[in-house]
Amino acid sequence: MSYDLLKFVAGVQLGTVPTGSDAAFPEWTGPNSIVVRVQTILYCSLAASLLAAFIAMLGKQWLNRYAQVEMRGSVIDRSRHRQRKMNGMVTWHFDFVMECLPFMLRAALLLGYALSDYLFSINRVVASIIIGFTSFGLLFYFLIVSATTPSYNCPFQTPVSLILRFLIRFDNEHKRYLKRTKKWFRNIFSRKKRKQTRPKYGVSGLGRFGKFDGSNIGDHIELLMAGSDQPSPLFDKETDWQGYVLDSNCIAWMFEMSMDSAVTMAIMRFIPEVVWHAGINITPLERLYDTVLECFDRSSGRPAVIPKLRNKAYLSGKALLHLAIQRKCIGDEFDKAMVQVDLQPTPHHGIQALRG
Amino acid sequence: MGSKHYEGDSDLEATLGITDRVFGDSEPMFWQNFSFSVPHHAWMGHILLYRAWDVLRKGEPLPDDIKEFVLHSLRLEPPPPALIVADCLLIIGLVLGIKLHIDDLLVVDKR
Repeated sequence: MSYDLLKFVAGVQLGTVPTGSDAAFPEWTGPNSIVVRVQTILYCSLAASLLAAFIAMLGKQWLNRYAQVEMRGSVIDRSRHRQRKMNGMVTWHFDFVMECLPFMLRAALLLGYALSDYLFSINRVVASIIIGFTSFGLLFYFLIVSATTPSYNCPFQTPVSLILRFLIRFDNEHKRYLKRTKKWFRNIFSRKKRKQTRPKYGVSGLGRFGKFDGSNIGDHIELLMAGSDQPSPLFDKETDWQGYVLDSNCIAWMFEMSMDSAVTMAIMRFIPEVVWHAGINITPLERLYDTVLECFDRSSGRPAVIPKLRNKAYLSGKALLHLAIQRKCIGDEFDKAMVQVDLQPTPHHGIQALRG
Repeated sequence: MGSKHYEGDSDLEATLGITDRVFGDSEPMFWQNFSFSVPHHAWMGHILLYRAWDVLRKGEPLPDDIKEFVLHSLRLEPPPPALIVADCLLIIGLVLGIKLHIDDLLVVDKR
């Protein structure tokens, strides 16, 4: 075919008009359109399967790295290392990435569609079997998604149902949030426009920036760093805020996960050894408060500690007091310190919450 | 919670007593009735220093329970371990108007 085509092109170039059989443009002698379509879908299916296998292998490597136990350093260093790895898993949405694997494998089910399409042109009886199985699979998947989208407790969750649930929620709360953000951006831009339309010199009314002298205002405002209005430390000891955050997250996680009473007691004994502050979002404060209350007998009017629970009352009370006081005191200071260590502070949830 | 006596368990009683005060109760604490273990005494001094720092930076007067704790600790015979004395002296320094950096509070052993 390529030879005929070359001959035809060369003839046209030389000005000799091809005649007879030579004049006919060569016809397409490749596979028909059905085969091309089916092949395309099959290759897509194959690519999705290979990609899923590739990511699965990578996932295995990632999990191996996560499961690796650090053999060097002290127990604290190793615990912090482990906590750091766990924080990374949460921050980088490891679970979501892993859930994409079955999603890709689902794309590999295009194989069923391709086979049905191909076999339909060859033998309809054989094709009907394939179509039946494929339709059953699709129907099953559709039913699962419809069941799990409204019900979070349904055990057959799929990434599609999670996305659908997110989109449904998007309609209510997130739209309001987007509206606020849009308004904020509009305000920013309209302010910029106002600045541009102002006369160049001698304009006042810029609030805390004072009188505008015509010089360029920078795009950023420098934040006040911690310690600008504070005395210098008496003790020559560097404060490891990031270490404190890791330690406290680790303890809070263990306290949340553990149901064993001996482990809980050990954790409560350890809580006063850790620095807690308002920037630590998840704290066992409420559970500690409940634990303290559990140790009291209120049947005789005035609460009294149940004798056999004295040790538990002491440990839980000490842990509660330590955590509550430190979070209350270090709240504001932590916010300033976070500017230095570049972490995100979170709103203060202190003793007030417990009082309520 | 803390106003009840738990014979032979001053650590528990003092902890519950301070918990009451942190959560709003204003009954006086009679520190002379307590006989702490040394680790508990050290921890109590450490935590009360935090409380004193927080109260004084807000311009409020030092609570009586902290004042009495400092006096009680410094009057003890034999004197308590140096780290407890250091915490008490820092509380006195705060009352006198010496400003402390937050990092100083985090140091457990201030000797």
